Amino acid sequence: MRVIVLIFFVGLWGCNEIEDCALNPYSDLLSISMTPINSGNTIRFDSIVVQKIGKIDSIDNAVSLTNLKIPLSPRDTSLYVTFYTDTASYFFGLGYQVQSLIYELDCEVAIRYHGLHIETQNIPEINLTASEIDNRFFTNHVSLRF
Amino acid sequence: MCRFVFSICLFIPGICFSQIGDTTWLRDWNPSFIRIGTDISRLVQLALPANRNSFSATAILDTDQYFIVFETGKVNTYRNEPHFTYKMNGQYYSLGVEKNVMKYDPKRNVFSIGMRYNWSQAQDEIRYFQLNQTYGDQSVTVHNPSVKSNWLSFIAHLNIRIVRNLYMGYVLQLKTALATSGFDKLVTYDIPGYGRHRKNATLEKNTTVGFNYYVYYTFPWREKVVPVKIRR
Repeated sequence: MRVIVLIFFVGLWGCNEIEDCALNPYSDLLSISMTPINSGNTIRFDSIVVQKIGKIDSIDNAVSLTNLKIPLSPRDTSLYVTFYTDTASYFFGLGYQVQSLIYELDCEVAIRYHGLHIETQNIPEINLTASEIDNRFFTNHVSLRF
Repeated sequence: MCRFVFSICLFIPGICFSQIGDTTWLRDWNPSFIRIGTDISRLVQLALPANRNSFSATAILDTDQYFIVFETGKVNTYRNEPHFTYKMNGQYYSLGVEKNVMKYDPKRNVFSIGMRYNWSQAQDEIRYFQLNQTYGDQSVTVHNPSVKSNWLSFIAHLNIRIVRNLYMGYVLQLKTALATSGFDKLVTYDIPGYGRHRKNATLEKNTTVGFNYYVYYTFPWREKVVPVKIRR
């Protein structure tokens, strides 16, 4: 009987919920998907420039790009991205809010980016598919069609 | 004869016979005492080094078999964690009614159940150093000037008479229906009188249980007769 009670309490102690800091679902990466309006076409950019970051060096003119991840700044409340092709330039401005929260006492402070909204744009087709950056619910936040 | 006595009592203000089922007791709606107390567990925290110190005061007024309870308290927390420091200071208030289910106890011990409405106001702040490879590292301070919360609590309250007017007892609270506002750039972590606001960053703690131990002193101004259970 004592063994059963001991096992019960050990099992109960083992069930204590310990938060893993790596399970924090909030991140700062804005995921942008890009697709051509006319299927069969490919999108090629000369450059992509993000305000306060600069030109994204990994863009290769010869490679068609379908997805891009850009980190949001915790100090600002907006992000401006400009896409340059050989014939035109496209841009959009994204507004957002920043919120600090304690995920667990042993973890770093989590930053939640929410209230995403398009402030300005000249993209042929732009669609905001998420209201906040939360990896549990959204894998893509902005869809662009050129 | 019984009808004559019953009619006489109709003209005595504040006192009347009440009859429910086969049990009769003398109802007395005029208050007879006020009981003042404090939460002992909070006093212990003041003496020990801890990340929280608080103080509370409770006043209980009796009316017939019911108690009107008012509690107020002040809470300060300071958390010095490896990655941040967080501090909160605020006040809470609680007002409710409890019913004494041990009204026939000749020793005047009390076990009451009831409900309270609670509200609080607090300010909190977090300081941390943020590492960011893209935009640069920075020291961050975020402050909520006024976080307001309210919730309901269901009470089980035991009060044992130790000697004369000294009582000691515990309060078990089920706190629920939490509503919070005023946190914009910082999700508040501690709510005075309630406890932790969230289970973790993604789950709000809408229901919680509290257990506190109190000591009271009663200030009576008249003698109140303990009702006698008369069964017909």
